[in-house]
Amino acid sequence: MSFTIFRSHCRSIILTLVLTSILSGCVKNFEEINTDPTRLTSLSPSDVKSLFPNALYVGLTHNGAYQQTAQALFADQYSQFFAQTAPYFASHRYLIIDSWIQTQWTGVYVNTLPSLVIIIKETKGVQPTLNAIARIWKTFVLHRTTDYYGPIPYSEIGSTNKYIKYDLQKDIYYDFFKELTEAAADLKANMSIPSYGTQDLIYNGDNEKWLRFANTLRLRLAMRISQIDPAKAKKEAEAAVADGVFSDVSQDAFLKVSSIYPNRLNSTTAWNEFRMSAAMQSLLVGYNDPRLSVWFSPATATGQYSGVRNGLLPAEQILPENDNDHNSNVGALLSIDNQYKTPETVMHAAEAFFLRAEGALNGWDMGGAAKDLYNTGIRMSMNTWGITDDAAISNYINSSNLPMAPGGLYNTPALTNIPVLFSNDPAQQREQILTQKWLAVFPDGFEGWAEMRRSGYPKFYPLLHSENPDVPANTMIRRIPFTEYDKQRNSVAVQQAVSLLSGPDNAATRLWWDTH
Amino acid sequence: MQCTTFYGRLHIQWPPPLTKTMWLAMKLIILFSCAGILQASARVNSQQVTFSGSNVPLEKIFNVIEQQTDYVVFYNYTAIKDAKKVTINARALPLEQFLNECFKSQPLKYVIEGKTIMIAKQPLVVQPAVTALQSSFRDIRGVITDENDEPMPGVSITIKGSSIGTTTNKDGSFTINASEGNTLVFSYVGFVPQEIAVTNQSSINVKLLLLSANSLGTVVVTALGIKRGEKAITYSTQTLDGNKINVAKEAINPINSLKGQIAGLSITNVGDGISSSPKVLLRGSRSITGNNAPLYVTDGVPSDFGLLDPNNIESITVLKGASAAAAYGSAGQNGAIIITTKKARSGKFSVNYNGGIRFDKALILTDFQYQYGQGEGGVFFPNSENSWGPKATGQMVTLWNGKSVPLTGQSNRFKDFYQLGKTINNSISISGGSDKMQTYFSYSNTRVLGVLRKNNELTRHTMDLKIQNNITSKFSINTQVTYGQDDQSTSSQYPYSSIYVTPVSIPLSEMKDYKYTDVSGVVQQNYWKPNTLGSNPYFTMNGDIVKNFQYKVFGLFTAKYKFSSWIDLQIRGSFTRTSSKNEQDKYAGISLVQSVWGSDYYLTTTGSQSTYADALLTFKRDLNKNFNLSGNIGASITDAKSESLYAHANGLYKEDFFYIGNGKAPITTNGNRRSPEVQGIYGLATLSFKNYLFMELTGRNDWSSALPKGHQSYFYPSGGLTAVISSMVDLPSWISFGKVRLSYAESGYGGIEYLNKNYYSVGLGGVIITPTIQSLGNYKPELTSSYEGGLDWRFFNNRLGFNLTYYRTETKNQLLLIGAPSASLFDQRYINAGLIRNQGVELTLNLNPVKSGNFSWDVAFNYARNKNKVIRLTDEIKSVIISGGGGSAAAATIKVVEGASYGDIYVKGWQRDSLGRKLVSDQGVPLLTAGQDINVGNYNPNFLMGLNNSLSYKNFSLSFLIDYRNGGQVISASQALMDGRGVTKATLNGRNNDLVLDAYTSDGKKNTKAISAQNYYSSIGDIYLSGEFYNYSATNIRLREAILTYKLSNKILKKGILTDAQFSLVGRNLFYFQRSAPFDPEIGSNGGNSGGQEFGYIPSTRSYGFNIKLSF
Repeated sequence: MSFTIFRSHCRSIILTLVLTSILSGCVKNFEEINTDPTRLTSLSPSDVKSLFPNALYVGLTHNGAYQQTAQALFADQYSQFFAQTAPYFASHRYLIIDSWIQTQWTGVYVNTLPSLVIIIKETKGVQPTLNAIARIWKTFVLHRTTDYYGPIPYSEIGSTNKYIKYDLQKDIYYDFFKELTEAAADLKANMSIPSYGTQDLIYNGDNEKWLRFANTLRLRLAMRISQIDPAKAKKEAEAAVADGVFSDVSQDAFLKVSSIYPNRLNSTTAWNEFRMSAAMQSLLVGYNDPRLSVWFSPATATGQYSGVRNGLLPAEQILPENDNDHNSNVGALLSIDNQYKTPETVMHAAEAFFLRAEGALNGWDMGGAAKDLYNTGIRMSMNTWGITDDAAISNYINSSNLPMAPGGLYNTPALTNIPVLFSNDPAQQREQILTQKWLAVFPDGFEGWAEMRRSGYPKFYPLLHSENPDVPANTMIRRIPFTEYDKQRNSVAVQQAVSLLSGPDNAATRLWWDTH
Repeated sequence: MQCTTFYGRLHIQWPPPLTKTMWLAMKLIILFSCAGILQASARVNSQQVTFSGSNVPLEKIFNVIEQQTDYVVFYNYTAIKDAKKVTINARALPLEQFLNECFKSQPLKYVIEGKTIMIAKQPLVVQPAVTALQSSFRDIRGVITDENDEPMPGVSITIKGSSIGTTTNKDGSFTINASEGNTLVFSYVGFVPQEIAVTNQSSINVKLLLLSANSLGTVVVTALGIKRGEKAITYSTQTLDGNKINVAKEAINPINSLKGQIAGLSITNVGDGISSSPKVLLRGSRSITGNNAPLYVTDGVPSDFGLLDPNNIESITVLKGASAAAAYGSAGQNGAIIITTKKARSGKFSVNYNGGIRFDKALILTDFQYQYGQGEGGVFFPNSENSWGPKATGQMVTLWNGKSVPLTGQSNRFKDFYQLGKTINNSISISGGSDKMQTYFSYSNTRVLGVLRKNNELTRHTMDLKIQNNITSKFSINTQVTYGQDDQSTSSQYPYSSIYVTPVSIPLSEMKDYKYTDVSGVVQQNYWKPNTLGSNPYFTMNGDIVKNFQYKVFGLFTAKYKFSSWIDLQIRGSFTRTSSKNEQDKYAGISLVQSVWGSDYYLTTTGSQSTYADALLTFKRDLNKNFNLSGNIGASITDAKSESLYAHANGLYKEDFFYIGNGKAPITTNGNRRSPEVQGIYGLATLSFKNYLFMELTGRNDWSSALPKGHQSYFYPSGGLTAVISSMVDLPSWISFGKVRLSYAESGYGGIEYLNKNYYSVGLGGVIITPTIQSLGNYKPELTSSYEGGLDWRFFNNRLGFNLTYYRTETKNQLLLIGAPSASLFDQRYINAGLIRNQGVELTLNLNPVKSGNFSWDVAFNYARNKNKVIRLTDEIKSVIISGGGGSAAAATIKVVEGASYGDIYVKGWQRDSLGRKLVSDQGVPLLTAGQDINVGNYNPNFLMGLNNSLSYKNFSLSFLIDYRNGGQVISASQALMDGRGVTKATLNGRNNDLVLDAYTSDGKKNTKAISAQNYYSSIGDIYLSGEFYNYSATNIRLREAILTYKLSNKILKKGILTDAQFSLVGRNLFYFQRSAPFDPEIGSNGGNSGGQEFGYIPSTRSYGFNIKLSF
C-alpha cells in the first residue's frame, strides 16, 4: 500500500485505537465488579454473635437436612432406638455407606466449627460469656464426632497445613475437660454479662443454664472414660457435680425450632423409612411405660404397638410383619405435623441423675444414693415428655413388670429380664440404671449407642443380617471407620491416624474408652 | 452438512440489481442461501473501473474489480491458468467495457448474473467441414433447460476430446453436428456439466442442475461474524444449512438438529420433558470443574439458542477448535457454534410461510412383565407397591380400596398416561426493501403438547425485526430486535417412574380417582400404600406441577463505516434481557415425601441481562501482485449479571390456591450473580500469496475482572497455514481441489467471579453463615493450547471429497475445585493445576455417485473419535469427583482420575474376594460394596458417526440420516427401580426361589443357596441401586431423520402468486438398528460435566411430521 493511502486513512486508524482504549482501558472498577454485593467480606462484632444460631442448629442436626444420613441411618439404628423398614438402606446392616456418613463429618467441620472458631477467636478476652458458651458448644459437637470415629482432627482445627493431623482420642477427651472447666469458670465469673440473648436457641441467653449444661456434659464425658481412666473420671465427675449439673427439667437442653429451623427428627420421620425397634417394644410395652404413647403410635394396620427387628434384608422388610403399616411409627409429638413445634433434644436433665446414679455405684461422691438418683432420673424423664401424673410415675418406678418377648417371625425373646424397680443386686442395678438412661436419652442415638458400647447396656438384639464382614450380626458395631471423604482430602493424616487406633480402621475396632 | 470447496475470492454482495430476470435471481438466492453467504451490504453501486497496468495477471484484474465495484468475481483458479496477461489503461470505464477490454483475446468468457461475474472457458465454436469419412455425422438438436424447465441461453455444447462446439440461443436450443460414438459435454458456469453419449437419437434435451453449494465453495462465517472463504481457513469448520434445520424442525431446541451431522459434536439430552436442555460437547471435555460447553454466537455476538425460531436460522457453522477463542476470548475455548439468522433482501418484497406439524410417540423401550400381580413373595397384598405377587390368572382379589377384581396383568396401562404428542409450528416472514433500506420481519408460534397426557405443554412466540439502513454510500446501520416468550407446564417428580413401577395388576379404572376427601374433610391421595415414597401415577401427573414462563429480548445494533474500498469500521452493541418465572404447584393430598407441608407453592423469578459491545476495523490490501493482506483489529467488552428471588410458601392456608400471599410461613431469599467483566483487544491478519498460500495470525489480550489484581491481563496468540495444493501444482485432472492446513491456537480463561475473597452470607433469620469454599487470592488464567492439521480434497469434478482433521488440545492451569481437609474448616478450595489432553480425528466425506438430469444422489458421511487423557492433576490429588459421591443419592459417581480419562463412572457393585470372584452372603444374596467404587467405564463415546443420503428425482427429494454412536456406558436407575419392583420381564426368572448366583461365599466356598428373584432384585435394584448391575453400553445405531420433499415446479408456480412451494414429510428418531440399553442412551445424561446416568426421564419419542414452505 502506498503511503498516501495510508495517510488518508490515518484518521480512521486513530479513531479505532481510541475506541479500543476506551473499551479496554477501564480496569479500575474491576475490584468493585468482582465483589459480591450480596455477601459480607468482613464481620462486625454483632455479626460474630449472629454466627451462633446457625452453629447451634447445624451442629445438632448436621446441617439440617443431613440429620437422616448423619444420625438416623447410623447412630439411631445402632442404638436400636429405631429399626429400618425402607428396603433401600443398608447401613442398618452395619454397612458403612460413605456417601451418607460423610454428612456427619462435613456438618461438623465445614458447617459448624468455622462459626465457633471465629466466635472463640473474636470474643477472646472481650466477651467472656460469648466465648465460654461457644467453647461449651464446640465440645458438645466434637464429643459426638470423636465418639463416632475415635481419633479426629482436633488440635489443628483451622490449620492451613496440607494435611491436618488427627489426635489421640484420649488427648481430645482431656482437652474437652479442660475446655469445659475453663468455660464454666469463665461463665461463673461473668454470670451477669449478657450472652447471645434470642440468638441462643437453647437457653435464650441464660448463662446459669449453660453452666449446668457444661457441667452435665463434663459428667457425661467423665462417665464415658470411667472404665479406661477411672481416676480421671472420678475427679472430673465429682468436680462437675460439685459445680452444679442439671437438677430439674427446666434445665432440659432443647433446641427451639421454627419454620426456619424445623425439628429435623420430625422431618426425617415423615419419610416413613423406620419404625420403633423390637428393643423399644420389648422394654416399653413390657414395662407398660407411659412414654410409649408419647414417643410412638400404634401400628395403623393392627392398632398395636409393635417394633421391628434390626438388620432386616430388603426381602424381609417388605413382609407385612416388618412393614410400616404393621409397626409403630413415632408419636404425634415427633411427627412432621409438629416439626415447627416440638423442640429438638440436645441433652435431658434426667441423664444427669442416671450418670450420678452410676457414679454412686462406682463409689464416687455424687451427692446422693444410687437408688434415689435412679428414681429421680425416671421421674425427670417422665416430666420431660409431659408425664406429670405422680401416681402413674410411682407405679412405674415400683413396677416389677419385665420386658416382653415380641415373638413373631424371628421368635424374638425379651430383651432382658430386669424390672424397673431398683434391684438390690449391684450387677442388676447397673443394667437398670443404664437401661433407664438409654430410654431417657431417647431420641439421641449418638448417646444411646455410645453408652451401649461403653457399658454393654442395655442389651441389644443381634442383627438379623450383617453385611459388614468385620462385624458379625450378633456383635455390636464399635465405631465408624474414617471417612473416605477425608481420606481423599487429607490422605497422609488419615493414614497416620490409623496408628492411633487400637486395631484396624474398621467398624469392629473399639474406641479408647470402649473396654466393655 | 456442507463441506465445501471454494473457488476464487468470493465476497457476494446483496442486493442484486432489480433489472435481471427474476428466475435467475431466485436461483442465485437459493444458491447463495445454500452457501450461507448472505451479507448485508453497504457498498455503493459504483460500476466504473479505473486501472492501468501492463502484463497484469487476470487475478489482479479481478481484485481490482472487486475493490472498485460491488461486483464479485467467481472463478475456478485452474480455469484461468492459461489466461493471457492484460495490458490496459482505463479511466472511469464502465464495468462491462472494462471487462470486454480485458477478455478481448482470452480463451475465456464472462457472464454477469446479478452482482456476480462468472468466468468460464470460452468454447471454440467451429463447425467442421463434412467429409465422406465423417458421413455418420448428423445434426443433433435439443433444448437445454434448468431445474425449473426454463430454457437456458448461452450453454456451451462441445464434443468431448475435440474443440468442436456451439452455444444455445436465447430459446435454449442448439444444433450440433456430431457422430455416433461422440460424447457431448454440456456446460454453463454455475451449473453441473453433463456428458451425454451420441447414439442414434436425433435430439437431446438436457436439464442442467445448479452446482450445489458443496462444489461451488462457501464463505464461512467465522468468529466475530467475519466471513471468510473456506479456502483460506486454517482450522476445521463445518456448516449446516438452515434449510436442514427448518424442515425437520426441532422447534424447541434447534441444536438437536445438529445430531449426527457434525463431526466431533456430541449432543445428549439432560432431564425430561418437552424442553429438556441438551448437553453439547465439541471434541470432548477439557475443563475438569469448569465449563465445557461451546460458545453460542448469534449474528456475531455471544447469545445462545434460547427462544430462537429455527425457521429464522440461515445457517449454523461450527468452529470446532480453540481458534474461535482468538476472536471471542475465553468463552470460545471449547469451540463455537455460530448461528446466522435470515436477513432482508432488497429489491423484492417476499412473504415466506413455513409451517409444520409433528407427532411424537413415546418410545417405551423397557420390556414389562404382565404375568405376576401385586404382592410380595408370591402372595397378593393389596398394599404392596411391588409386583412380586402370585401368578395372575384372573383369580379374584380385594384391592386396597375394598373393590374385588380379577387379578390380571394390565398390559394396556400406559395408554392413559401417554398420548400422541403434537408440535405445531407456524412461522411467517416478510422481507423486502430498497437499496437504501431493507426490512425483515418474522413471527412464529409453536405449540407443543408433550407425550404425557396432562401438564406437559409449551407455547412459544417469537418475533424478529431487522432493519438494514444504508444511510450514505459509506455508512450503514443495522438494527435488530428479537423477542421470544415461552409458557410451559410440566409435571414434576418423575411421573414416568411412578407410572412404570405401579403394580402391573392394578386396573387403571381403580387408580383414576386419584384423590378423595376423608371423613374429617382432609384431602387424601388415593394410593394403595400411604406413607411411603410412592404415589398414584395419576396424582403425580395432575397434582405436582411445575410452571415456567420466560421471555427474552435481544437487541443488536451495528454501525458500519466504509472509509474506502479496502478499509471499514464496524461498531456493534448488543443487549440481552431474559426474565423467567418458575412456579411449583403442589396439590392437597400430595405424598409427604414430595411436600411435607401438603398443598404448597414455590416461586422463583430470575432476571438476567448481558451486554456485549465491540469495534472492528477491517482492511484488505494487495501488497504487490502476489501478496494480499487482510485483517481486523478489534476490541470488545462483555458483561453479564443476574438477580433472582425465591419464595417458598411452606404450606398454603387455602389449599390449591397458588399465590405466595396465601403462604403459611413464606420464606423469601434472593440471589445475585455478576459474571466477570472481560475486555479484550485483538488482531487478526491473513496474508495470502498468489491466492493459494494463506497464513493467518491472531493475537488477543484480555482483561478479566475475575483475576487477581496484577494478573488481570493475559495474552494468547494463534497461527495457521493453508496451502491450496491444487492451485500450486499441476495435478491430474480428476483431482478438483486439494488443500492442506495446519494451525496452532492458544486460549486463556479468565476465571470465576468473586473467587479471591472469603464471603459470609446472611441466612434466614439474619444468621451469618460461613463460606465452605476457600478463596484463592492469586491465580493464573487457565490455558488451552491446540494443534490441528487437516486435509481437504475433492475429486472427479467435486463428486467425491473428504475433509480430514487431526487435533490435539491440552488444557493446563485449570481452576480446579478440589476437596480440602475438612478440618481446614473449608469443604473445597480452588487450585491452579491439572493437565487434560484431548486428541482426535474427524472425517467428513461427500460423495455424489449419481448426477444426471433428473436424478441425483448425494452422500455425506462424518466420523469423529476423541481420546481424552487426564495427564496430571496435582501432587496430592489424584482424583476429582465431578458429580455424585457426597451425600447424593445419584446412581453413580463421576470422577476424573489422573492417568484415566474424563468421565469415568464409578458405581456400587459386587464385593469380590482376593481372586476377583463375586461374593454372596451365606444366604446366597449378593454382597455389595458400601461405596460407589467400582469403575464400569466412561460415559464418553468411542466414536460418533453419521451417514446422510440425499436422493432427488425431478421435484422429489428424499434424505435420510443414520446416526451411530459407539461406546460409552450408561447407568439406568429406572431399570433398577423397575426390577426392584418386579415389573420388568427380567424379573420373571427365579420367581420360585431358584436363582443360584454364580458366586462364592466369603469363606471361599461356591455358592449353593438359591434365592428368589424378589430377593435378588430388591438387593441390587430399587432406589439405591448397585450400578454395576445396571450398566449398559450406550452403543446405538438409529435412523435419526428421514425427509421426503416435493417441490412444486416453476411452471405451475408461474401462474399464481406463489414463487416457491415445497412440502415435506419428516420423520425423526424412527428406529434403532442396534441398541443395548433398555432406554434411549442419548437421554441418559446429567447436567454440567456429569453424564452417563438416567433416571425416570420421559421416554424419547419417535416423530412424524409434515412441513410446508411457501413463498409469495
